[in-house]
Amino acid sequence: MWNELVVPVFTNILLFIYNLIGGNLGVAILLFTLLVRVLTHPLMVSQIKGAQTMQKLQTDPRFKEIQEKYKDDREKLAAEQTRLMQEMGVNPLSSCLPTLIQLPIMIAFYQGMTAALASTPLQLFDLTRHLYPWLLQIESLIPLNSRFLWIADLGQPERLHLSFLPFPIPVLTILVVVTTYLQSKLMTPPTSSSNPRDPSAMTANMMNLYMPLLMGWFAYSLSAGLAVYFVFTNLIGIAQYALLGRLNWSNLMPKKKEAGNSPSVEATQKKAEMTSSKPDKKPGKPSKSGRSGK
Amino acid sequence: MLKFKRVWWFLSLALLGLVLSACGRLPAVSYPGLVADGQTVYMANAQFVYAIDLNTGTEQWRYPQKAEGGRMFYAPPALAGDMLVVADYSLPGAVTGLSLSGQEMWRFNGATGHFIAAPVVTGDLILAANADYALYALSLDGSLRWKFATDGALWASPATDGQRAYLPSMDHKLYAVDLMTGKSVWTYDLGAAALFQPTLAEDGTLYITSLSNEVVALNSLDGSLKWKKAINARLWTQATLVDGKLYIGDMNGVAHILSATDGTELETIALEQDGSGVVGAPAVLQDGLVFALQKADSVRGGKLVKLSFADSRKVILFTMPEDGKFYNGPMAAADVLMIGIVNGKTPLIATNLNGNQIWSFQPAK
Repeated sequence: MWNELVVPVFTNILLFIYNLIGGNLGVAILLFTLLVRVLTHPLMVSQIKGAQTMQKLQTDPRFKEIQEKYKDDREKLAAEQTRLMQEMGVNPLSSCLPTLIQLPIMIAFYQGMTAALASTPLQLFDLTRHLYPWLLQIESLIPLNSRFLWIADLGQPERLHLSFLPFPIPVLTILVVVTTYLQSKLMTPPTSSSNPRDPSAMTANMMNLYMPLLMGWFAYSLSAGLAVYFVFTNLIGIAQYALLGRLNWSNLMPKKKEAGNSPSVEATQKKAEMTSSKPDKKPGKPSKSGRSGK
Repeated sequence: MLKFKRVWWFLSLALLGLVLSACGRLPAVSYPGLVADGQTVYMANAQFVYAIDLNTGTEQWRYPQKAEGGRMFYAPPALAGDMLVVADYSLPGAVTGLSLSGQEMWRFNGATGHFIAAPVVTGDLILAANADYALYALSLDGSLRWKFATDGALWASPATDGQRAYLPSMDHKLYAVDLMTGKSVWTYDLGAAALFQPTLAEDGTLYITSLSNEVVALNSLDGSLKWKKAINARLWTQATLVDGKLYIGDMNGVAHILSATDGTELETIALEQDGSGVVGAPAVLQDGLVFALQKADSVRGGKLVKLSFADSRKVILFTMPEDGKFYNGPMAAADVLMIGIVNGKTPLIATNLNGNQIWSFQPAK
């Protein structure tokens, strides 16, 4: 069902664009990536908004109080959190639902592009089966012009051979690593906590560090067409965030170390309170989490 | 603790990367390539070339003995007397001469693309068509005699009469190449990529199929067109010539029987009507042909259907369970029918000529 109905739609659109522009697979990949990112832009916007409200919620002192107060009573904790969410108008699905909708689109796009590259006999066989004959003629389509810029074949892993170097350079791999790193750094929202032991901050740091390496490995070992897609989709992602004014340039700057070289949870709490948009915390009433952090 | 988490994250992602990239590359690249003599079948599949006892299906040897990095083999090997010629799918493409006990004798490393097509041995020449757009002519010791460049990837083996090679290319052309000089004699524009080896008749007629779903007959002397016949279905096969008739199976599961003289359609026979399509060339037996049919998309399994010469009767010889797919035709050798399987539990099964399975090959771990 997925491979027979969904993926071929993406394959056919990509190859239709390829035909339309006169047969350049690299440019077709760029245009199709742009098209998909534009179409899914509203989902991305609502995902960002949802994530922002969730972040507000998590930095709200009442939320932390509830967590601390009912840490031994899960049912009560869930009920109180739900009540607070309703009070603040937060929909817990608003950040993850758009992602869940985008994910299959991106997977189908990725698979459709892989199928369109048809760089192996089995892929070509499947391509001939999945092309819409009313839209595309296989005899004029194959062989695909998969030369793009310095890349001789988008269906093969990319290496740039320079005459003065004894080894080839995986230029696209380097670009994928750099753009993935930049994207993840620039898109990571400012954390309320600078505590390196904060699990969410730690997870984000790990992802920012290792995800570019993982994507780089894919770019190094898989076809150049996919690496072109990775680079371009990263750049579009950064541009989308820039348009929405959500780029977090401060993440690229070296972090100043907190006094004492080990920021306490109390300091974290203070910072969270300062960044919280709901300054309704009653004065003179220290939070329990602040005490428990000592 | 922090250090441990970092290491854990790194290892997890590295493992994920390895698994995902392996998933995308190792399986489902091409189909097993087969060649056989009277006692042994040689199969190129994934990381090895196997020598398998034709009667028992037991592994005699494999080349290389241990998997070598990303080295892969799919092109059917070629027999040259007491030598087996194997060609790498992995990059850069290599052609290797092996003794019939699996010892490497020489290796040619001059190609830069995949070897998908089987090497062809004619006289003292090995013709190896590569996806780097070139046909390499090698001596039997692996030294390069000449190289012929085309404008497209070469996925099909050339046909040869000992004087010329008739080379189909993805650039839509069929090239006639002089074997002495390595120069082009004539070219013919097929109008579509050609993926299968041409069939050369004794009278010098060449029959070739292409992605335009046509069968084209050419005079091998000068490349002039004799006739062409459109088949109203997709073709993933070459034409098989038997007693003045051409047999072509299409992807709708229909066998077309054409007159080799003028291309007139003599008969069409529905081999199967469940959406299965014919893949690859049929195996030629004394009394008929055996076609491999692949089931429709997403459904695994396949069938071997025999079409008899005498009365065009069709019989389902063998039905493969829902495991793996056929992408190429069967091969017959010494009363054994063999067919390669993609993504199945076993890469090769063998039946007798009645379709009863006699063994399946399971490579040792």
